Order: sequence, then C-alpha cells, then structure tokens
Amino acid sequence: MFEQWTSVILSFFLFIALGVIIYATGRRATRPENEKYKTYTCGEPFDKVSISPDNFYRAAKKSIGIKDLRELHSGKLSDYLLWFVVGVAIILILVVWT
Amino acid sequence: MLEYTVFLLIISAFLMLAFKKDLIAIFSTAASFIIICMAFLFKNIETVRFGGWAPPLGIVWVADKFGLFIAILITGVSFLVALYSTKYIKEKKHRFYALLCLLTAGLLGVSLTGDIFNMYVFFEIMSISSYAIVSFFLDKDAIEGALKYLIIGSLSSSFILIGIALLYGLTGTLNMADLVIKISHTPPYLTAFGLILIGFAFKSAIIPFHAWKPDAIQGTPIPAGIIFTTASVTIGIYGITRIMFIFNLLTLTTAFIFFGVVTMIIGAILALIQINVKRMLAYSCISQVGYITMAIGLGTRSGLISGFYHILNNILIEALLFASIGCVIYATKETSLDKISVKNNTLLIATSIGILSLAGVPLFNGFVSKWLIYTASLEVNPSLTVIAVVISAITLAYGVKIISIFFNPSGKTIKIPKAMLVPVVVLAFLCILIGIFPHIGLSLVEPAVNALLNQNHYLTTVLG
Repeated sequence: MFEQWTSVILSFFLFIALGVIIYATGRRATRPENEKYKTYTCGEPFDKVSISPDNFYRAAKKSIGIKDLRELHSGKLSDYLLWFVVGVAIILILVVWT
Repeated sequence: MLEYTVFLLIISAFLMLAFKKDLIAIFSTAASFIIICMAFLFKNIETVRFGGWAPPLGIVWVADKFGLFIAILITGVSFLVALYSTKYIKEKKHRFYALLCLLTAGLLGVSLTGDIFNMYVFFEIMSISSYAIVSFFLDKDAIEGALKYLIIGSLSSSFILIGIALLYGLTGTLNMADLVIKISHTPPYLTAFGLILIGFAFKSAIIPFHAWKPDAIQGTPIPAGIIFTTASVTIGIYGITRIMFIFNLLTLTTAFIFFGVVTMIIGAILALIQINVKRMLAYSCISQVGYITMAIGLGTRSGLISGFYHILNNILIEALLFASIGCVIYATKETSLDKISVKNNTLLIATSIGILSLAGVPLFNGFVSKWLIYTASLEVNPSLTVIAVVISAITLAYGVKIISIFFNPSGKTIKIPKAMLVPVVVLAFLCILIGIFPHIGLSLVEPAVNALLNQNHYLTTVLG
C-alpha cells in the first residue's frame, strides 16, 4: 500500500534541504530605515498591528448559505429535536426502502 | 483476562471516591491499555462466557481484532486524559476521575461485548457518566450543554432499546452471532436495525444528529472534551460499522456516503465561522467524522482501511489539538479566539502539527489516511475525492484561525505544568511518527479490517 512511500519521504526531505540552503545563502531582507522607512509608511507612525480571528473569513460568514446554516443552529433545544426527528425519518425511510 | 479491564475501571471509579488518589485512575487506565495491547498482539479472537453459560443463553464477550483496535484507542486516550487531568482539574478531582473511569468502562464494554443488550447497558453507563462529566463545572454553559445532551441522548438511547426489544421479540435471542443466523432482511428487522443505527449515529455526531456536540463541548472540561471528540465518536462509528457488517446491511452504504459527505461539508463550514475555540474543535471533529463515515460507506476493503486509519488519526489529532489548546485555556481562562493571545513555543509547534495533520499536509499522519480516502473514493466516484480535497483546504483555513492566537504581538508568555505538556508532546510525536512511517498505523488497521470482513470466523468462534 505504501510502496513508493520511502521515495516520497526522501523527496520531501530533499526539497526541505534545498529550501534551507536557498534561505541560508540568499540575501536577507532588511528593515528599511530613516527616510526610506517613512516613504514606505507614507510618513505616518507605523505600529505593530494584529488582526482579530473574528475578522477571518468575514465574507464567508455573511454569504447566504452560511448565514442560513448559522440560523439553523440556533442553540434552542426544540430546534435540535426537530433536526433529530428529521434524521430519524430519513434513516428509517432509507433503511426500510433500500 | 479482558473482562478484568472493565471490572478494574469500574472498581477504580468507586475507589477514587473513597480514597481520592489520582494514581488509582492513572494506574487503572494504564493497566487497561497495556492488557488490551497485549491481547491485540498475541490473540486473534477471544471469547468470555459469563457464568459458564454457552451462547446464545448467557452473555458472551467477543474480542476480535476490530473490537480490540477500538479498545486500544479508547484506553490509550483515557490514560493520556487521566495524566493530563492531574493538573487541569483542580476541584473535586476525585469525582472527575471516578466519572472518567466509568466512562472508559462503558466505552470498553461496548467495544468488547458480543451481546446486543449488554452493549446497550454499557452504552448507557457511558452516556450517563458523559452527562455528568459535561455538567462537571456546574456553570451556565456546562448545565445548558449537559441538559441538551441529556435530553437528546436519552431519546437516542431509547431508540436503541426499542430496536433491541424489537429484535428480541422477533428472534428470541440477544447474542449477536445467533441473531445473524435468525434474522431476515424484511421491514420489521430493518426497522429494528435502523433504530439501533440512529442511536449510534447520535453518539458519533453524524449530521443531523450533531447539534448537541458543540454545546456539550463548550461547557465541558477540556480533558472530557478530549474523550468526547475522540473515544465517544469512535464508539459511535464502531457501533454503526459492527451492526452494518455483521448483519449484512451493505445496501445502506450509499446512504452512509451521503451522510458522510453532508457531515464533512457542514462540519467544516461551521468550524470556519466559529469564534469559540472549543466549538470550532467540536465542529472540526464533526467534519472528520464525515470523512470516516464516507470512507466506511464506500464498502470496499480500501474504503474500510482508509476509514479505520482515519479513526486512528482523528483520535491522535483531535486529542492533540484539544490538549494543546486546553493548555492555553488553562493559562488564560478564555475560550474566545478574539481574547486569547499567548506565546509558548512548545504549544505553537504542537498546535501547528495538529492543524497540519488535520488538513492532511504531507509528512503528518492526517495525510496518510486522507490520501487513502482520496484513492479509495476515486475508485467509487471521483466527485467524492474532489469534495474531500476541498474540505481539507477549508480545514486548513480554519486551522489558521487557531494558530493565529500564538502570533499576536501583545501575547503573554505562559507556563504550562509538565503533566499537561507530556500528553501534548507524546501526541505530536505520534502524529509525525505515523506520518513518516505509515506502516505503523497500518499494522493496527489491517487486522481490524480483516476481522470485520471475516464474519464467519466471528460466528464460528462464538457459536462453536
């Protein structure tokens, strides 16, 4: 089942080694200083920023299908029981008909 | 010998309450794990006849390689959880350990018994201790989650009981091997099997029976969350697979592919939009169950191998992620991804390994089983492979959200007790080890699949 596995693993290690060599021998990116730095940041003070994980995939959250899916998971027990009843019906129909 | 593992765990539960020593639970789970591993290595199939009654009259336990494979995973996780809980649980620890031992005993009993009513009894032991563990913290989230779990869980358990009663009424036997001989594939029998399958589908949180899980996990202590996303799910899948294959219900495989695909997609999408890390991991677990269900639903040998391999990997990965994120929650007391920002290199590496494994990136264990699932589904329907690959990409996308908590510049350095770090490091190591040497996992999975497919051996061993 995993006959070619050793060669796959070796290839990965080879690529990792190649990456390390390129990284080690390459020219390091340096942080711009003084006037050049000001040009990069449009002359404004540049602080470290972080993005809240809540902002990740915000577009996905608002898309129609996903919004509906969220609303279906309302946290209400009666809704969960409805899901359960639907599941029971589907399984019993499938089991008896197939 | 195997029966003593369950007795040991049940006795340990009571000893924990009497003596309040952590070592009792750690010892009993470790001893059970070792005994089960020995049985897997040295025995092909073992039967235990309680009271000396020959089947089908008495209760019989049948430990074939499939049952033992599941038992190894359950006891292994329980041992790591017992170790992890020594520091995580601070108050009423003896009660937590007592419930953990009972839960493990229930899970083990389900995987080892050959009597369908006895299976239900252990299923209930497992379920009742689960409800108590979910409400362990007794705060709003815990009680809400436990109540929802209790109500829907009791409903699903009663479906199993009705199914078993129907089977007993039709055949007059409860021994699974004897049932195989006496059943026919007519609507009354099929209805009974359908009812039993509903109970196990609930336990494995297959959509649309999944809704309880995120709520329950949100309120539960992290160590119990590890059990719920790994061992409990596994026992649900075990029940479904055992019932499907022993009673030859292979016409249901298409239905399981359908449920698997839906579970995989909806689980991943809902994980993507979560902000509570515990809920995200719960949905992630649901999505992985979809992979397993789809793979087993393929019905082919390669499908079963890939599904079982993913059971093994899912246990390692979900346990790793829960344990490492649990360390963060332990230090910060926060579960919202918005509010957590920490620095800890060991946890960063461990979580990254977990996420990369979960997404099926090469060199990690998740890749091995997902690759097997891709190839197995390609033989049946290439569109299933496409869906599985796309869902892997979504998995990586929500994984990035989790890793981001370690990269916030305002993050504080946290220190974690060694007792909690040991399980994290062990699980991370296993994820890489199996990723590089997949034959290790295959040596566990292949005998289990062979045992499941060789039902004649099971029947002749039990009935003689």
